[in-house]
Amino acid sequence: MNNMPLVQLENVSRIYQQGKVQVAAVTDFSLQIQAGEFSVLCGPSGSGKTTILNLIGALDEPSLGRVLLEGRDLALLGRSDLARLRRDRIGFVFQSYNLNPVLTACENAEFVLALQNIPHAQRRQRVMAVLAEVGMAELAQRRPDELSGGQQQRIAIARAIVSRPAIVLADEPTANVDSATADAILDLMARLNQEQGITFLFSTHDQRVMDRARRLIHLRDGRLERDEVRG
Amino acid sequence: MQIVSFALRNFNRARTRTWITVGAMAFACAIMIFYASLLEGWLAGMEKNAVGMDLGEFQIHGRGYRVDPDLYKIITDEEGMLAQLDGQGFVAAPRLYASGLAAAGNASSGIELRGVDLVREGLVTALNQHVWQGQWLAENDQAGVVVGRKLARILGLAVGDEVVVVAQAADGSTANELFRVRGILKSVSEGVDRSGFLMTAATFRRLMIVPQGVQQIVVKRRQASEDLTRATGRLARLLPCYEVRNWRQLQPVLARLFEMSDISLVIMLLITYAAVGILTLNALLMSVFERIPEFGVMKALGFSPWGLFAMIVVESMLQVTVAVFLALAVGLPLSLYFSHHPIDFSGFVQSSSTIAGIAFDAKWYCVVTVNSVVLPILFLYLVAGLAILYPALKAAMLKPLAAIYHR
Amino acid sequence: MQLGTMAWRTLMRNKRRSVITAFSVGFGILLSVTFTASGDYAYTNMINTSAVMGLGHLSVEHPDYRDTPTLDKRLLEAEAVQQRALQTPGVTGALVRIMGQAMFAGGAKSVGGAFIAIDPAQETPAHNIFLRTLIEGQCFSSGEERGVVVGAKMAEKLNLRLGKKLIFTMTDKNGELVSELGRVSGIFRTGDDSVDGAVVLLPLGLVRKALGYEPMAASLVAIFLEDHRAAKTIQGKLVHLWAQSKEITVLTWQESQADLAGLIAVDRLFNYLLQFLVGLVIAAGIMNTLLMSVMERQREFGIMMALGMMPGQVVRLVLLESCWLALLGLALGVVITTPWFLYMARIGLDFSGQIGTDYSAGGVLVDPVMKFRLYRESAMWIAGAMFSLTIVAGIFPAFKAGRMTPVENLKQG
Repeated sequence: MNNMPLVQLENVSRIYQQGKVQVAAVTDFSLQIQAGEFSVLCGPSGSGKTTILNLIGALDEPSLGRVLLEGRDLALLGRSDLARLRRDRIGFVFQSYNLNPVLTACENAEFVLALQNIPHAQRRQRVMAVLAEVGMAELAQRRPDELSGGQQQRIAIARAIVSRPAIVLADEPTANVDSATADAILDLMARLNQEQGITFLFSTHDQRVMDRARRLIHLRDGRLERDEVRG
Repeated sequence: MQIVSFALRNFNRARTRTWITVGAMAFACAIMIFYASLLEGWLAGMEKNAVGMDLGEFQIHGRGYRVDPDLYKIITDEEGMLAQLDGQGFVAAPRLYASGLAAAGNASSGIELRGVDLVREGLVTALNQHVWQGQWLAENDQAGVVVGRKLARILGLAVGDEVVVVAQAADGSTANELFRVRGILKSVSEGVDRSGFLMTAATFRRLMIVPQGVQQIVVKRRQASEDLTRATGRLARLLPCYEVRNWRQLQPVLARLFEMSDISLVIMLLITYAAVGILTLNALLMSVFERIPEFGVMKALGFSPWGLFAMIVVESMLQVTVAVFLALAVGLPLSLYFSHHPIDFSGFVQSSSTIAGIAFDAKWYCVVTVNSVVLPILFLYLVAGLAILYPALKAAMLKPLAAIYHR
Repeated sequence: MQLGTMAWRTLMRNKRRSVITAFSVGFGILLSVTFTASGDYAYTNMINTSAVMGLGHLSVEHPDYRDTPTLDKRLLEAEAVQQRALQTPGVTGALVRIMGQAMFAGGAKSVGGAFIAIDPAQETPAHNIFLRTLIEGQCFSSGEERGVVVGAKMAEKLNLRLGKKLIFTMTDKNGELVSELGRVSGIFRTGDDSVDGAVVLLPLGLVRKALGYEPMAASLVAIFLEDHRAAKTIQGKLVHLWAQSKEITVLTWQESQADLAGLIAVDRLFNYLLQFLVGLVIAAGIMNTLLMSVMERQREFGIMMALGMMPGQVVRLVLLESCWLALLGLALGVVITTPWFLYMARIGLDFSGQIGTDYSAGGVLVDPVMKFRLYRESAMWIAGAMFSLTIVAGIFPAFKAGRMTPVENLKQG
């Protein structure tokens, strides 16, 4: 089972009820992602990128089909198991950073470790290492409102990788930052992918991100349009 | 008009918050309506026991009797006076008083003998319906007496027991006679409970050798519409040779208690509503603060500060009004229910507990009056109106540009 | 970083709102203390006043005396009972007394009333309200075997002055009427006309002789306690002492003065009920604040849940916030209540202008000065109740926060 895919989506559909109308965000979508990938979900807005990330991230449930993470069917897990799964196996990076405003940069980054009940000293040590990795060690004690957008996104990345998850899901990570910052952030993630073997899955319609991806999964109207593997 | 419709639409915006605020106001108001009705009921009960059982609304005595009561300071022309009072819109009953000693078995106690006109007494007081055990006096039962509740206990008397009375009669001889307990009264007042010893007027006259005249005439207005003080004045002018007192003068402690009760209701209202006021203030502050950008836009579009102020005031008064209707829907039926089904404290209160010397009923009724409904509502508007000033002024004083970009 | 720290910082994010809410908790404490402390003071005062009007906090008497207090029922060895009682811890005084009804005559007039026969050598103003409120003359001494002390109202009715004769008639132990003569040595005025017109203090020796009592016999031994709340416990100890004797019972003030006990019970009930209702209103306010704070942070909760926070931890976080709010409220409550309490405990508010000095309830004069006194258990109770109320108010918002799914939360905002 060594080459079991990390993520497997089998004929997944996600239908939302919007008032009296049913809207299909994703229709009959299948996908496999292997460990170590650096892949991008791309397509215009409304094509279902975020829904797929939410499904993989165990935040949402498919209306039809199955989602498997490391071979486990998410539909069979309870709320607490899902929370544990998110905590231990998945990292998230959101479009608008979403750092907790009452916590310092360092505390935000170690949030997941605290949820894992890792002792304080060990936690600090790991967080400081990761913050150094993302170049934020000096600003560790600042609150989010004292940081720039790029700095906040670095903290968000640190928060996503500090627990050594199986996969990091990044929803439009460069949408809110200028291009220089976007490049820096992408450099950082590419390096983490290469040096530490962390799997990344992005959603984006930013060309720069697409240029860096080794696999482009094109979406249109909630369906797979084209799956393009490069290099 | 525009302001009202604006306010109406904003009512349902933060639904949970608005309804919790309205609910708390309604709850407090309903409770206060109930509380005020209970208080009115308690006062009515006290008044019934004091005035309706014993004191009457007015008492007429011969000059000097009240300061130094004795068998000889009497009203001689009671028949004429009773007829005169009847003609002036009053009902009246004569009473005879003397002190003596009652003895039964191994016990004796000082008593206040009272001779009662069985026909007339019932017009003025309801004492005849206030018998705890046994029966009220009867004209044909010359040896029957009705005694106060504590007296019965002190002497160890039950209905049917014999009791000896020793007293000094009007002619100086010693009156000494055997009576039989016909009834024991429910608790009336400290005095009646401890020493009340009631017999028919005829028996009294024979025992104490008082062939004519009475010590006291108790009076009641036929219609309660006439003001008590005015009626007192009228009586006094009618009977210039006698002492006329109304119950408030006879029982100043009780009268003060009644005056105090209004103050205590207002204090209770202010205290309870202060809690509501803080709640309202907080809810309105939240609602104003989260709408600052919106207010900014409205101002930029030309809404005047006072228009904004008025809108917020109308908005909150609308909430208060909804709360008031809810409170009425809950508090009024509750109070009305308990005005027919009393709350029974007999498990707590001894039947002889007294406040200011007046028996305290173990069965407690609500009495719904205009005051008991209007005061709680009025004060709710007042307190909410005060709570709103700060948030509404804050919104009125906003600078449009800063408000639009407020975060 | 712990949940507790996070909860505190969250609370401090909207300082004004949190402080206003905490203030409502503090205000609740102020109210609760006002109600409870004025009750604790008034009840204590009434109970102690009632005790010094004759029966004490505990009374040792003949088993049948309570139902029909006639003079044939008596304790034969009252002095022995007194000595044993005085050795019991918590007892500050024990006095032998005969209490009963009598007819009093002065000159041509007579009135009924009650007498308390006392041993002047042992009675002190501390345990006898009538000696405390003397307005003329003094108590008869041990040597004056015919001295009497009468109430001002009775003195007025019977036209008595110091040195005048007072004839009293009562039923002796065999049921015969006996009369004795006394001379007025003092006049008291408690302020309650029904007491001042009815109570007379007589010398124990004279009454014993008149009633034909044995030399050590008396109606009762009135026992006074340091703290009236110990009545039940000390009653238990005393009952144990005289368990052998069928002629002796021990009654607490609640049993011997059931009128007063009932009145206090009803008053206390109302007092607590009212506090509870005001508490509910305050709780609604706290709930409103927490609910607001939860609703506006939906997205944050979504993120935290996406990062792996369990619903239970979300609930705990919000409950911790209400916990902090409660603590803040308690602290504020202490700050605003202390000066008010100290003022009321030391000086108080004088209502004698409004209710007069002759207002009585349950047969006991009520102090027109409203003062505070707070039993330690009452204070603990208030703090505990207010704290729990705040936590309870947090439950609904907490579950509301915990019940939402992360995706729903993420969509908000």
